Amino acid sequence: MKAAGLNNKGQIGPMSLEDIFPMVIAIIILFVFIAFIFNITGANLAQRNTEELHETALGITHILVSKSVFVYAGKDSLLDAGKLDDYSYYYNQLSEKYGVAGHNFSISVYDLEDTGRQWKYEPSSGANQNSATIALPVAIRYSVDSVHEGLLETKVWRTK
Amino acid sequence: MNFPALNRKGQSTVIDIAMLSLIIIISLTFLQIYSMTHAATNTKNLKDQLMDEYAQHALLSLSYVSPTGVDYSTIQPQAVEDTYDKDLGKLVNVSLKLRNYTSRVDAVLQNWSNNVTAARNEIKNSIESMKSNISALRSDLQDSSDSLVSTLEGIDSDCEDTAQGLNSFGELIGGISVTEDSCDYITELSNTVTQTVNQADSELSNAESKLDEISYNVDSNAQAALNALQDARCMLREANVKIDYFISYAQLGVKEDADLLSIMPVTASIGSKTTTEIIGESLFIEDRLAESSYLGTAASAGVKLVLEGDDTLSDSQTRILGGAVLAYGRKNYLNLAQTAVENKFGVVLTKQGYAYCFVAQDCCSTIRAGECATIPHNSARAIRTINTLSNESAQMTLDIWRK
Repeated sequence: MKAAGLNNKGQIGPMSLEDIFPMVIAIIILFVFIAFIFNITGANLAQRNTEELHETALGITHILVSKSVFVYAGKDSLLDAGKLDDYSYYYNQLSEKYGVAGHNFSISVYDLEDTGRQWKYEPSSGANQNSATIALPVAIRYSVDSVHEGLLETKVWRTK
Repeated sequence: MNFPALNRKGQSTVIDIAMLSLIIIISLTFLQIYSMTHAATNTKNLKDQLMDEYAQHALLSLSYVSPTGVDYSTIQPQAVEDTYDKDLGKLVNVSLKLRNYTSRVDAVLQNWSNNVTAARNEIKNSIESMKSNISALRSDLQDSSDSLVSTLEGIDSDCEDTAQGLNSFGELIGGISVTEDSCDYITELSNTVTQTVNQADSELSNAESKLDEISYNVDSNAQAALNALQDARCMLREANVKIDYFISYAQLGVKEDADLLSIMPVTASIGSKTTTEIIGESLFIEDRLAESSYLGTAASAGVKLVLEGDDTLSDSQTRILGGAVLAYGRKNYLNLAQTAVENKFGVVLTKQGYAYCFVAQDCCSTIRAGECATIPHNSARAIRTINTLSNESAQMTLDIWRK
């Protein structure tokens, strides 16, 4: 016995008018689902991206205020004004020593006592919009009896 | 043969779609909430770490900062005039002995403080022990009293029958008379025992209260003694600074009322006043030293000259400047830290949306800056102990929190 009509049972197959409504609903739900997934993933990625930049900035700042070329006599958070002056033209050396792969950074040191005084070390290309900045208090040593309050600011961004 | 009804089998209905939608919406909501919570926790941890780092580095930096930024490079000391007064030599010897004496007294006072603390603890422990003994005694007394009274009551209830029986027996053998008075006596004895025990219990209770009172008095008296000893030590330290200063002055060989101008005439100008005026107003001997508002500036000059190891300075000049530095450091270092926090790091913190409380404390004074009345429990806290210029130990605490 031949029952050709049964070959299509349980398949999407030829639809009648009453099938169209659930189909449309299903497609809408699918789109909403995809949009949500993209939204969640996108937000997570952006958040993680920002956090990772801040963590990198904090890591670089840590090194700069502890055992970097700027520090006086190995004392944490005590920067030597003379060394800050010396490295004004050697950003590339700083970048090679303290940089992180795939990232670029700039450093600014502000003398809070002498507001006009500051040191900046930055690449020629400049920061892009997606960057993170960390600032930590430091002391800036000019001489044995002249140590000012200061602030070290590190800005980090991705090169790609 | 045609089977139209079978065309619908295995295909979704509107209810199926609705259930599927519901499951998907619930899953999405859960995902979204989980994702937001996770992200918020990460961000909070990072911010907390940053606050902690900021507080630690702010205090570390403060411990390096020099007293003032005033430049005294133009001050040049000149030769000291030979005006040594022999009487001052005697005074110096007395002062040295006095200095030695005050240091020893300071050590003795410290010892006394330790002894007072130990004695207070010992007395309190003894009182606690006595109180527990009294409690045990009261309990025993009450038990014995209860036992005796119940025995007497038992005797009392049978007394009259017993008395009658004994009387009959007495009549039989003759010469023995037991009257009902004997029963009254037993009742009276029972009452007396109860009263006496109650009285003893009341006395013991009073003794307990007295011990409490003594314990409290010992505590407050010991605290008062410790405070007085601490005040005395602070005064001694103030006195030491003045004695040091006086010794420096006297050993330099100048009259008691001389000022630094006679030794170091200077002409540099600072603001509206010349350095000469500032130092002239600052470095007078004894009491006026502590009153001068320019003390810090003058001491800064001293620090600079002393630390630079200027060859033109004699030992005596070094000492005199050292004396000024000591006085300055003792008196003003904490104020300097407070100013630095309020005007420098505090401003930066406030701009970044943080609130802070800074507390600096040495043996004799405490200063505060920021919003110290409302420190939340989740603030980032950094504590650092430093030595001031006068080698006093001071503790600085910085709390930071998000507004």
